[in-house]
Amino acid sequence: MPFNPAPLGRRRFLALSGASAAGLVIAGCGDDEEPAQTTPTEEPPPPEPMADVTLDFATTAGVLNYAYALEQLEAAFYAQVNKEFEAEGETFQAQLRDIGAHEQVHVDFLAAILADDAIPALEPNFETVDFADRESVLQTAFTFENLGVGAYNGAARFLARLASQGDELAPTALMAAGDIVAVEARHASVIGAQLDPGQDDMFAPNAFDPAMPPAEVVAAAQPFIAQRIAVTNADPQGG
Amino acid sequence: MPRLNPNALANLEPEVVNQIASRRDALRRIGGTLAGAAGFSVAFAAASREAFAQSGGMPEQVVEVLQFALTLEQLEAAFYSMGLEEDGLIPGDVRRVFEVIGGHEDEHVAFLEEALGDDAAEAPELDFTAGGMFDTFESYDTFLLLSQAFEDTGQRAYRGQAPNLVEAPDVLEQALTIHSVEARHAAVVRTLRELTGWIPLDQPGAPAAAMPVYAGMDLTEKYGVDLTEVSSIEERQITESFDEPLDMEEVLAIAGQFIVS
Repeated sequence: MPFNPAPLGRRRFLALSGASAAGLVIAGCGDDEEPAQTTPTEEPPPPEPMADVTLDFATTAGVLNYAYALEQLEAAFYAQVNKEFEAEGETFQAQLRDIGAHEQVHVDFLAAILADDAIPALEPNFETVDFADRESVLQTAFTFENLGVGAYNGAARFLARLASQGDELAPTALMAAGDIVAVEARHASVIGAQLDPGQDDMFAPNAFDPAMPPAEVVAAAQPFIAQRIAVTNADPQGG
Repeated sequence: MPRLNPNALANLEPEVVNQIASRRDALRRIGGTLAGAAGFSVAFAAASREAFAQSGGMPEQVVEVLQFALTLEQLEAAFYSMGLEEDGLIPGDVRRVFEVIGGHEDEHVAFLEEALGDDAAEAPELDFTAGGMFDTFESYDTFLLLSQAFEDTGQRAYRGQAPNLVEAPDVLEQALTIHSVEARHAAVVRTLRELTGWIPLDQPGAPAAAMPVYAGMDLTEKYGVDLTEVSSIEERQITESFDEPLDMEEVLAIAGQFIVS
């Protein structure tokens, strides 16, 4: 098909809905999961925890909400960093402020294009982060930035599939994701260099970055998010 | 084994050294788990080529994109290899950065050559002075400037080809996993030049010849969304938040200055 990204605008970006609201969908109920085998004599299995948000990778809105969730997490993290953490040196402090601002722009952009299809605001949980401690802040930042890079890289094939199927918004979403992932990678590089100034390769630990399956990304992000997130139709090799 | 700088650690107690080493292992696992298992290999490239072979060959458009990428990677790989060979050009304390970057470019070349198989072109003949315009391997500042230009261009070039790979999602994904590494390289080189890791509104210290590298990066409206309207973040940071693509023609106009044939 011809690749004609449409301008999105904030008006009715998506008629399709990729987000199921609170508590309607059972977590982990992916299409690739075996149904549980039970017999009437056995105790019933414990109920699956309910998901607050389910991201459907068979829709462009679902993929964009996935990005929106991660960007919300990052933006909330840097907002707290820039409030509570005293970075040594003005340059580094300015870098952290810039990174926080970029994440907020990503949040604002995604919220604008998702409009009514956006998932609710997520509540972060940073109780494992010590915002007074450089190592804790930087390691968390590095984890989030690498997670972002891996998530966007891994999401591209879902958007490509949707584009191939004729979804009109998927090509634009793919391009936007490409524009954003590069900035996430720049953040990861700058944070990585701070972890290990000048002597090692943490700015770019590998010649090829990850392309992470959504389920892995969500599992890694879940401890930092109060709501339970589930993914569906999220097998990278699935049709 | 993590690579440690022996000089920096010479005066530390062994327990402290072990602590640092294990911390670095932990950090590497963060970056590594995320990449490690998924990291593409030359074998994967070959498998990818085989998969296309069974379905009647790689689409011409995909071959064209990979060939384009190979040329850029060959240019970058040669640039770092020549720079690292030049005695006294790269200061010792940052040499490691360029060894890492150069090593990655070598891996990208190997990957793309394998993916292209018999279609892979020989490395072009290069002139990094661009006909005498740059004292590239005599001045570290010039070397840094060109390194930044090549990395920023390389990243924007991969991004620009994404639309042409929609029908080949495996190749798209592989290209993106290189794309973000070029972005990481660009950021660290920019930092060495005491710039921000991201691309701001203006390009201090960049000669006119480098300006096409940054064409069209000052947008505040993205995909129909006026970011100044939906976000309270200042304009400079808005434009930094998105890295726009360059198309093949724009990239070749930049890289072509250094390609003799």
